[in-house]
Amino acid sequence: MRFSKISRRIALKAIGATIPLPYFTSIAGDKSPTNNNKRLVSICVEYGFNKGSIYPDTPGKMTFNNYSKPFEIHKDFFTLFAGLDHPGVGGGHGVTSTMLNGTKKQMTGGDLRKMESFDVKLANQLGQDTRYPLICCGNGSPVSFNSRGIPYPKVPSPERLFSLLFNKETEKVISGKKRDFADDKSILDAVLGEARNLKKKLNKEDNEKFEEYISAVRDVEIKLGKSRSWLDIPKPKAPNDPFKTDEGVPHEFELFYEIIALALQTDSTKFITFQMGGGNGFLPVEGVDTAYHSLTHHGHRPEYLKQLRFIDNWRYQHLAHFISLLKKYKDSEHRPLINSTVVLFGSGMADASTHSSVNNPVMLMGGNFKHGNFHVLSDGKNGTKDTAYSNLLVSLQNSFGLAEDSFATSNGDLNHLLA
Amino acid sequence: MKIKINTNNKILCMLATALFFTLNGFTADFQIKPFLKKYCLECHGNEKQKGDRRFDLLKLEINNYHTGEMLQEILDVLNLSDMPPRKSKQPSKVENEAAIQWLTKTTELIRENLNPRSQQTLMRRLNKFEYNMTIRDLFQLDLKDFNPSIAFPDDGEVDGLNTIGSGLITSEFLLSEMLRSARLVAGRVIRPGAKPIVKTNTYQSDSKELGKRYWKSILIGRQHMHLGNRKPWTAPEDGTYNIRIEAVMLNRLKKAFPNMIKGYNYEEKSRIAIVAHDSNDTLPYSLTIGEYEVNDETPENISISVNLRKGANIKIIWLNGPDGSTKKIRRKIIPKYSQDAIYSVSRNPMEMYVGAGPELQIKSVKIDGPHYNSWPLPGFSEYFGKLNKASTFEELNHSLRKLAAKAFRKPLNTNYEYAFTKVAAKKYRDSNNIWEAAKAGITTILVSPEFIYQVEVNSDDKNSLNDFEIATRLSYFLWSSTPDDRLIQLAVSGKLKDKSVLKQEVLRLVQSSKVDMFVKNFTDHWLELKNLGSMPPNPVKDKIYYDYKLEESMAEEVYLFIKDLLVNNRDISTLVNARYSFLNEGLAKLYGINGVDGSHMRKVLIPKDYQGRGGLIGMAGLMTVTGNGVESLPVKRGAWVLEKILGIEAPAPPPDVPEIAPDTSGAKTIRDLLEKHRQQASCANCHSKFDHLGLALENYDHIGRYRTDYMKKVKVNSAVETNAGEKFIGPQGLKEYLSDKKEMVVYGLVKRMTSYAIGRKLTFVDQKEINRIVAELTKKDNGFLSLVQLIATSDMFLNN
Repeated sequence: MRFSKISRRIALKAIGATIPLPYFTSIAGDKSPTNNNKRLVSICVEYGFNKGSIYPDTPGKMTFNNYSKPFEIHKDFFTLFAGLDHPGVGGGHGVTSTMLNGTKKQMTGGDLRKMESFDVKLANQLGQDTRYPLICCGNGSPVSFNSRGIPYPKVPSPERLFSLLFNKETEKVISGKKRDFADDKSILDAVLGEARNLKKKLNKEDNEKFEEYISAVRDVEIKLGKSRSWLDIPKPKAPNDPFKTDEGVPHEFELFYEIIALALQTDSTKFITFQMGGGNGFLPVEGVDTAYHSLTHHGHRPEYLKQLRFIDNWRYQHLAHFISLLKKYKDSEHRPLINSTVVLFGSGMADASTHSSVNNPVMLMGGNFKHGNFHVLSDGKNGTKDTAYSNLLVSLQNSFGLAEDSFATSNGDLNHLLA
Repeated sequence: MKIKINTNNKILCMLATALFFTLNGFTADFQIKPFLKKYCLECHGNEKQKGDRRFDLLKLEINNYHTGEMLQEILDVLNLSDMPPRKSKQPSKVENEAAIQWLTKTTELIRENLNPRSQQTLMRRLNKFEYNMTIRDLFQLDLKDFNPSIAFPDDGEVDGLNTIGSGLITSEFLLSEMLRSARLVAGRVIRPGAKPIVKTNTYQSDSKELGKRYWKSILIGRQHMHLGNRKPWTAPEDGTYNIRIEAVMLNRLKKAFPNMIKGYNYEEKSRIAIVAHDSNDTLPYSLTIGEYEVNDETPENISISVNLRKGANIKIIWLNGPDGSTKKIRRKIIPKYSQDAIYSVSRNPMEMYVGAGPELQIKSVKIDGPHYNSWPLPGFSEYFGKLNKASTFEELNHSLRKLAAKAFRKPLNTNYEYAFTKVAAKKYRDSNNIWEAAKAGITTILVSPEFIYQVEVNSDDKNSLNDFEIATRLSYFLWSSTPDDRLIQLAVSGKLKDKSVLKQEVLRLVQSSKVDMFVKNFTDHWLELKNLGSMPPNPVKDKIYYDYKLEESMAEEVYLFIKDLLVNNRDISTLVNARYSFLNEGLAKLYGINGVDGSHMRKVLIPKDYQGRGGLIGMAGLMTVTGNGVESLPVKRGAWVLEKILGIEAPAPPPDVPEIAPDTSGAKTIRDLLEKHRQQASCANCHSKFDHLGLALENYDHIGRYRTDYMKKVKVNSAVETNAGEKFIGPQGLKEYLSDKKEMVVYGLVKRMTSYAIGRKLTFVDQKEINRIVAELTKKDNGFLSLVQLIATSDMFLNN
């Protein structure tokens, strides 16, 4: 297939506009006749996962081992990459957060716009016609950053995610909120006036710094306006209740997956980032008797590696179930969600034992892609990094209809592997 | 930060050039360029620029900031004999001294000729910590159950400090959260009307009557019980509540059904946690009120008194009960110890299983409140006490102005209509409710720029702070909070520019308990103590860490130590050579010191040369933050000692080099692995600066326990040699080595604390003031408090 690319400039010409438009919902909306992908679920595993549980012996057609078996039923929707790295991000725990933006604050040379992660970028341009342009959930390190380098706020528990999406608000609550919005508006208007007065008294450096405050006030006003317009539109009814189950208490991760699927099905959002937390607790997995963080520092001890792979297998089961849900649920055109939903599963951290970001495994599922292969893009030997992870992020943006040819440290794209 | 260099002034330029020639004439017997060429340019010249330094293009100009900075760096490394590297050609003693002399004079001259306004403190936003403390002090609110900045994004740090303007960004997200918090604060402050009535609720479970309610109060797994059956109890008002819980643990001592119950340890006394939480609130809230042991077989009372916020619910959790969900335990385990049971629990009456396995019973809970120390609440009566619901808007505005003057830390303009007045007036008109208008006014004050920022406005083209700005800077330096009435009074009467008054005020602020906030925030960032807890050790192997709640004690040890230095004006070198520390039972046990019982912290003398303990080196908390929860990281530790204690910036790790993978099987020590790494010359250059400092600390494991071998396999080798050939062994050796480097320790701390206090990075131009502070401090008593006073009266502190 070919991704249909519509450059901003052409679109502007066509509609004869002279002002820059912030986004194009009409191009990206469900009604568009293109084969573009429409939804994105990015999942970041805090300490990554072990290559031994997923890498086949040889590149080419994807094969599955005992640990990765849960994906076998989805093999036509499954692609695995080896050796996609973010050059320059180095090692250490901070690398987890580089998954979706390929950079660190220190690397931006003070230009924080470079910190914007690709999910935030897509949501800003294509997610504005849903109640929530982007949802970040989970308890892991932040991976979604805005263009000021600030992490996107996260929804920390499945309960709160569910209530955010589906909790009906009473008339009283809604009218209370409307009153609050009106109050907020008058407060913001008043302090903006005050801020402008103050600004005149400041010297040049402070003046520049203080511009942050002024633009923050304006941005909050815009955001309030958008949220207010959603107040009159009732939230959708939850198609089912993931908390009601017969089989004991499901793990937090399973609940998140269930609710994410419901969020997509009800079109409450098109962009979700799941920051899967790490920590040093004991995970409820058969055969695991050591705390998780301690296990990740395996130092190639066979016993530790085995337990880690059990944990990976447990994660793969959840993910495979999630993909099944996306096959089951339909979009507004009665096509399975999976056809237009991209699921990216990985981490900024390639090897937790060394805190390294080299030879990073990345899974790509769903969406309109040529699937079924294991692509080895660099062997990671001697710490070499040939093909940037960001090349994939360029291709993913293209697959949503954005005419970008570079992102972060990219040196090309991977369209030839995916189309 | 941008540096303004005055280059426009032609006359000054010419004058400066003339001065420079004079200087060159004066020291004509020494030329810097040939010296650089001979010893430095090989690595820092046209071909190579190691450490990003290049000297062959250096312009010898007297009003060039960059030149000054470079020459200062060269002077510093020569002074430390850090450069040229040991293996390279060395200058003779005479050459070296001549270079140092020339560099000292030249840097001084450049400093004098640079525009003194080339550095200034950028407008600073309150950080999260300061925001909380300010809210607490403005309204006399208890923040134990209320963290107003909980949802704010983390503050940016510059050089690890959270008080530097350029790092404190204001985003749309932050501002919308501030707005939300401000509204909650206003709701907590405006509490008009009569004192709320005290209500008592008692929840009984009658063991004779095995009803449904009774079942809710028997815990069989690691589960929780809410207070109240169908409709959970919620706190009717913000206030203090007394809670009495009668609980008993059954069948633990009998060891019924061993090996059958997963994750349960019969040897441990049962523990419950009492948690207050409110998930419906705008701000997430979950607070562990306390953890308590439950008596076996005979019920006992647990009584506590706690602040709860309106709407909070109480739950009781069995912390160390059997693992797995209640349903699982009921389905899979209970039928095994009840012979008559058929598979499905729903088909058997629950009483069939009572009393067989380990179970924790909550017999009764009594809760009464809200109670108040005084009513109306102090924060309300201070500003709004004279109002009633029939008050006029003018009266309300008067109250709001009183509050705003305090919140903005300066007198208000008399003829100016502030935003809070406009908003409150509108609300008053729309709602005709004085209290709603008061809340709207408070909310506006708390998002106004004069509150959020420490505004310093230059008047009459002068650089110096006015009295109110000094009061604010001093108060945020030592209290992380807003100035109190006395500071403001002194500012009103214009006395704060008097240095003797200022010194007296420093003393007063340090003697207040609020100085704990300086101790905490400065120590957390200076020594990276804030990272404690981010890498939890293994709950099984490092059980002591959890049994004694060492995380808390570890942090407390450092805070108490620093506070003791400050309050008692102890010699700064005590940081490295103290013969005492502050311990409780858990820490003493970790250190292997006997005779310290109980959980309270106290001053303990350390036996001579004992494991290198006493002083920052050897404090478990600091050794824990320089590990990763599983093993010690000598490279990180070495860089930490170099930066935090010796005050020398450690070079940043090069990108794309992963951490050295530890060999956890214990066959190869981290030292062997590092040795290999250092065989590459490119690595050795940086690593030789600090590896030895970390390797000497290898006798401390990842939670600061002393060890002589790794997992009983290989002996720890902590004998090291510095670049300059000095040798020492282990933590005790390092302690003595650092004690000999006293001047560096002092110098490093002076720079760090000054930067924290004035809210900006230090520049080359500040060197002179820093040197003066160090000299005066050394002449005086080298005391920690003296340093604080010298900083607070320095030009850097008193100028923008």
